[in-house]
Amino acid sequence: MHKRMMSLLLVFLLCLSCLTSALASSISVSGTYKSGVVTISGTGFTSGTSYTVRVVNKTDTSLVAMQQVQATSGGKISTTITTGQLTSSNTYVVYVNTTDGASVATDSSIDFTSSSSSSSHHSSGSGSSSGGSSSGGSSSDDDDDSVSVSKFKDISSTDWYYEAVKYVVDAGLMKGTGSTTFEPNISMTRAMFVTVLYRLAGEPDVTTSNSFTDVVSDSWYEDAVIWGSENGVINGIGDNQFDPDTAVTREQMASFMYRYAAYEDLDTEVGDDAGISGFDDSDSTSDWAVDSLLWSVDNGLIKGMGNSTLAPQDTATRAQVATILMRFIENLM
Amino acid sequence: MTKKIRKGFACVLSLCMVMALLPFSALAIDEDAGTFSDYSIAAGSITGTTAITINDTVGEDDSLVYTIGSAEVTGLTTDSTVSDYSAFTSGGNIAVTEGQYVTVYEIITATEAVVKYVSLEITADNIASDYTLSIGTASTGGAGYTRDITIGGTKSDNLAGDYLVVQFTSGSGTSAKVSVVIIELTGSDKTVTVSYQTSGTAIATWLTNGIPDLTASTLDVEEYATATAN
Repeated sequence: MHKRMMSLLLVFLLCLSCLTSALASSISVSGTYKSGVVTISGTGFTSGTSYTVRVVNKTDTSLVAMQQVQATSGGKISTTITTGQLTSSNTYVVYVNTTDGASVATDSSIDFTSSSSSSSHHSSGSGSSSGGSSSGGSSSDDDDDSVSVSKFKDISSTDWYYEAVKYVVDAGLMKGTGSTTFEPNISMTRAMFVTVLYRLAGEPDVTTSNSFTDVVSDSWYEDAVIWGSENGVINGIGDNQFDPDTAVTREQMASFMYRYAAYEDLDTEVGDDAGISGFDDSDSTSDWAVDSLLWSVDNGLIKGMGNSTLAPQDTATRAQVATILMRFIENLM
Repeated sequence: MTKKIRKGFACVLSLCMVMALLPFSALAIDEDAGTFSDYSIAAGSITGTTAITINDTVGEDDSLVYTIGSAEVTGLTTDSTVSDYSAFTSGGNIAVTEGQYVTVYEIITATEAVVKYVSLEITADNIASDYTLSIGTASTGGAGYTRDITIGGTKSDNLAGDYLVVQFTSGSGTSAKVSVVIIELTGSDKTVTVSYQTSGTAIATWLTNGIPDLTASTLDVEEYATATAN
C-alpha cells in the first residue's frame, strides 16, 4: 500500500514536471530584420505584463536598440524596433526581459532571409560583410529589394513617400493597383484601408458572415470587412451599409486605426497635451472622431496639412496612407 | 344613447376610484438622479490609489458614499437606492485597479435614495505609482533640441542610486541612427534635461534601480518606469 502511494506520488511529480516544462517552453520570441527595422513577435508571455526587448550586437558586445512592449490578452508580444542598417544574421541576438531584469526569451538567429536590404547594397558593396557574399549571393537580396518597389513605374526613389511605400510594400501591407503601378496619388477607399489593417493583423480567420448589404460576397475585401466588424475595428455608415468603394476620410482613417490599436492592446490613451484645437478647421471634425483624431495627432500619425488645417473630411491618397501606416507601426507597435 | 352615456360615465368613475386607491408612488414618474457638476479625479498619494474630489454642495440631510465595480453605473433615478457602499471623503485615497469604475453618490442619509451620482472609469493615469516617467515637448537649445524627462510617483523623493536610460532614435529605416546614454540620478532631482541634434528624434527612457547591463541576457536591475515620445 505504501509502495503504491509512493508510485502515485512519483507519477504525479513526473506529470507536474512535464507540465512545468511544457509551460516554460511555450514562451518563444523571434526577430525578423528588414530595411532597418527588426520586427519582434513572441507568444506565451504573461497577459498585460510589460517586457523590455533588446537587440544586441554579439560581435562587439553593444546594444543596438531596445523597446518596451506589453503582452496582449492572448500573451503575445509584437513590436518593431528601429535599428538602422544591420549587417549579418549571425551577429545579433534578441533578448526579452521582465521588468525585474530576468531573461525570459532569446532569439539568437534573427531572420534576415526576407531582408530587403543586404549589407552589400547599402555599405561598401565590396563583399566584405561577415556574410562573405559574392556578388551573385548578395544580388538575390538586391533583387528582392528591386522587385518590391521598382516594379512600380510610378514610384521613384526621389519621391517624398518612397521610403513609406517601400516599407508597406516590403511588409506586405499594400500592393500595387496593377502589376507595375502603385498609383500613389489616387484616393484610398474604405475597403482598401480595412484590408490593409486586416493584413497588419495577420489575416486571422473570420468566424461570422458579412452583415453589410453593400459588401460584395466573395469580394477581395469581404473577409477584411467581416474581421473589422467582428473586432470592432470598423463600423458601418448606417442602414447596414459599409460604403466600401467610397474614399476613406482622414477622420475615418484615424478612427479605424484607433480601434485597431485597441484591438491590438496598444496604447490608446489620449494625452493631456494632445490637441486639435490649434488647427483652424478643428470644428469640422465629427463628434465621434474627436478622440481618434486627438490620439492620431498625439502619436504623430496624422499631421497638419501645413496651412494650420487638419482637413478631417479630406480623403487620403495611397502615398499618404503608406506614410501614416509606417508611422503607426514604428511609433506604436 | 342615454344608456351609452351612462355606461361611459360609470367607466370613468371606476377608473377614478381605482386610481384613488393606488399609493402615490405607483402613480409618480421616476426622475433621473442628478449628476455632480464639479469634480475631478487624479492619482492618490499612496501607491495603488486614486483620489476623487467632489466640490458640489451636499444637501443638509445627505451623505457622500462610493462603490467600486467593474462596470459603469448608469440610469439611476431618484427612486434608486445604494447598498454595500463606503463613506466617501473628498480627495481621500481609494484603492483601485485599472479598468474599475468608482461611483460616487450623494444619497439621502435616512433612505439611501440617490440624489446625484457620477461613475468614473479608472485609467492608469488615475492610479498612484511608485514611479512615473514623462517626457516633455521639444524645445530648441543645447545641441539643437532639448526635452525634459520628469520623474514622479510616490517614491520619487529619493532617487539616489537610480539611473535613467535614454535612447535616441533619429531617422527611419536603414538610415536610422540609434544611441543610448545612461544617467546617474542623485537625491531628489526629479527632472533631467537631455539634448540632441536632429528634429523629430524619438526618445525612449527607462528608470532603473541600478546601472543596467544592456548587452547581457539579464539586465541585473529592476525597471521602475518607462516612457516614450516621438
